Amino acid sequence: MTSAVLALGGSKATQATGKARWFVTERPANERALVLAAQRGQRSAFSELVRMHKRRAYAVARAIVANHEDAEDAVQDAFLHAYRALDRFLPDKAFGAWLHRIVANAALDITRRRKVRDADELPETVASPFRDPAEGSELRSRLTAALDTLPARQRAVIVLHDVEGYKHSEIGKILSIPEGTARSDLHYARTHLRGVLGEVRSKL
Amino acid sequence: MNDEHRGPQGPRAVPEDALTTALRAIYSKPTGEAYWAALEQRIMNRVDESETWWTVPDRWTRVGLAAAAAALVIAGGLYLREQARLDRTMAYKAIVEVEGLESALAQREPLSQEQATLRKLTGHQ
Repeated sequence: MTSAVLALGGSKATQATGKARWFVTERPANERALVLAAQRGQRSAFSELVRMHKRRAYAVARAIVANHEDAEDAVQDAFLHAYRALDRFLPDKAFGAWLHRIVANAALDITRRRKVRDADELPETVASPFRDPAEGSELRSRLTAALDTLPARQRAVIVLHDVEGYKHSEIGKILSIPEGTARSDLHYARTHLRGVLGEVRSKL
Repeated sequence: MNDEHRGPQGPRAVPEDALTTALRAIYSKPTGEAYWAALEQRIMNRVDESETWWTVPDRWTRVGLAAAAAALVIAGGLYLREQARLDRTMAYKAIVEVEGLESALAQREPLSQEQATLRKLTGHQ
């Protein structure tokens, strides 16, 4: 996959200038060739697509699910689904946009299943979904708890927008919602979380 | 790599306030190439595991279905041809058997006058 590596190297150089960055609707020049090769059954081509998209796929999944482990599961499920559905993908479309929708669906599916499972479990077994050792501050734990109270879609919108830098239109495409809904979800989520943040700060 | 973190220097500057900073801390991606390489490997392992005979890719499913349909059509044609041949054989056998019976009857001794009258009365030839 020499051509792929070279093309990616060139893209990295472009990124380093800070003038252009990747978007879900944009794609590297060699991506179409990789998709076509993967559709012909070339494993190494699909592996290259995984290498190119895994970080963004993780970011999309992590914005929707409650923890790191679920995000990993969603990413793996999504790539497997994408591999099986590769024949139905039109190579002229943006692979990233298509993949991110699959990732979002896989993540939402895991969220739904977890909700059902957690409802069946005893309350003491439902610990904080975040297992970050750095988590210790009052603000952070309160924010984490507040994020949990947000509807999954609003949480995904604020994380995709404020953390990952997606635009409203891109978020709309990923989550299959109108752009206006993404805007209002973002507004609601920010207002809610800022309220929690202000409350904690006033106590400190 | 096309999926790097966009960060605040991206085309759309994300407001860097306390909320955003806190969110970024919570949702920070794992760092280290080893982690991502391992995740990539796990994904490809799952892809490889899925390549079993009952979950072959769609293109092979379609080829298999087309081959099965063609085999069914050929088998159906052969069956109909064999049936037609059997029908012809049966019809031929029936004609030969009737002719054989008639000639056997003809070879029998002539009937007596009484037997001939009785057969005529009962309608048998």
